[in-house]
Amino acid sequence: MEDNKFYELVELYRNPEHYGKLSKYNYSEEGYSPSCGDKFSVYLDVENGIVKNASFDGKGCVISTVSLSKLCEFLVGKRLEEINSMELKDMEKLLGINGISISRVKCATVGLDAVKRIYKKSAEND
Amino acid sequence: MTGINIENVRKDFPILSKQVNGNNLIYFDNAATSQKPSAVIEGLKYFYENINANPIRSIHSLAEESTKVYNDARKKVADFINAEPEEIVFVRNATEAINLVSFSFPFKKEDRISSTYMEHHSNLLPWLRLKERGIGVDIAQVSEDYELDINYYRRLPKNTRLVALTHASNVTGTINDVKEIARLSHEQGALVLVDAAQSIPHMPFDVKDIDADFVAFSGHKMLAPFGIGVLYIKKDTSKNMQPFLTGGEMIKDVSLSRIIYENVPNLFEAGTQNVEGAYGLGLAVEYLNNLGMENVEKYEAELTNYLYERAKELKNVEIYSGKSKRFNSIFSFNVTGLHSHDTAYLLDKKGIAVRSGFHCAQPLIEDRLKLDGAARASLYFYNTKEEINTFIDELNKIAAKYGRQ
Repeated sequence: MEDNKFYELVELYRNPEHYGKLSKYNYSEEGYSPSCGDKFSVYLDVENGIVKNASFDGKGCVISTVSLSKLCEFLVGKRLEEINSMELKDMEKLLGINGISISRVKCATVGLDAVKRIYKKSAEND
Repeated sequence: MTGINIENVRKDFPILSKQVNGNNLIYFDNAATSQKPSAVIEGLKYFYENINANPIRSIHSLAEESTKVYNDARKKVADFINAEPEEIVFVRNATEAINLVSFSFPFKKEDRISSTYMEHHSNLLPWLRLKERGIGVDIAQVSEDYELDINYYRRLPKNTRLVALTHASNVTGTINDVKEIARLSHEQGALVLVDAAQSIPHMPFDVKDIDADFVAFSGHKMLAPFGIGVLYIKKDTSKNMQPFLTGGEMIKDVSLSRIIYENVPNLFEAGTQNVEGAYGLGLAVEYLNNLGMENVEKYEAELTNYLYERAKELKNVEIYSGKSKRFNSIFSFNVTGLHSHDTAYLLDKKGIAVRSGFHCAQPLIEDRLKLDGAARASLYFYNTKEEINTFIDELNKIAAKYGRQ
């Protein structure tokens, strides 16, 4: 990663968008990345399969925090089921990074995995 | 510096001349694992080209040679910590050593075990698990200076059967007075288990002087290969202990109605053993003996003092280690406002390897230090002041760019 790209991510990490528990949500899920010690919760307000609003809180590194922020941003207004086909390369695209290193994969996907679990739950409820 | 010829020593470690991300490797993650000298690396090749056979049971010449090097390794390790060979059990690592005690020692329901807030998870989770069997677990507190409260050990909770504690913290660097704590614990009828994974690689260790009942340590942190570790069990202590794993080589006689077990240490070494690892550990111990552990300790103390002296120049960096009366070559820190993983990532770009995260000591880092992780530089005898200079300079640049006031 270029130094200025990392610097840009650190700026986003300092003031992440979509941070803080939603006042109204019907799904939440926790995510952990044990090597970093990342601990996050994701909150989704889903209506008729559409994500009305999304947020997260918790603590983690630059990569995990920004990836959660970008993922929430991406999800708002989309069908929740879209998460099902998403993978690491989609998270890299959201972050604007190519080829994330193996030790940081979990950081980039901690939010993705949590939202996938939410989708599974919501599908079971239907 | 005293006793250690650093130029010669560095030539013994091939990996130290490696380039990482376009820079000379500066390996400051020694508390996680040490690098290996050529004597150990080439020794493993020699083992497989000249000795390899299943030890102990077969009687052909190669097997005898394999048995001999296995026993020699046990003797070398025993001498290294001033123990008897039959008190040395080979295991995979310190984690397995401590788990073995937790499974094999005949704890009774009303017994209590003391651990501490500064333990690696390996000396905490095996005890917490025993709670399921109705055994009480107490956790000794850590002071603002990252010291254990000696008064706690003067009056242990009633029915304390075992006092488990680390000799040296892998986060704060604190070196605990295990000898005094062993004395106090024994007065109150408790046994003592010392996790020496962070101390034995760095200083002379005399188990008879400390008078511990159990000592656990890992070979890979002291120049040996992965997968070989040691559990020291004081002679009489092992009498009432049950086997840990059962199977081959830990029995004298087997029928379907009766099993006669082997004596310690073989009782605790079920299955074909890691002879390669034990042989490598023996070579590692020889290497350390040739350097002299007093010299290792002295040299590392000089390096550590130099590191903490230069660390005074750092701005936007918090330091968590080195506050206790005695501490080892560990430097735990954060760039303010930056996650430790990101600091480690930025240092790695300069070829500097440090650890980041919880260091398998989550209760200490989260509950006690109130952090979501820390970066850690940890030194060994092959590190240099020049490397420390580069580390401090690069860390200062990172902290200036990314740190918050």
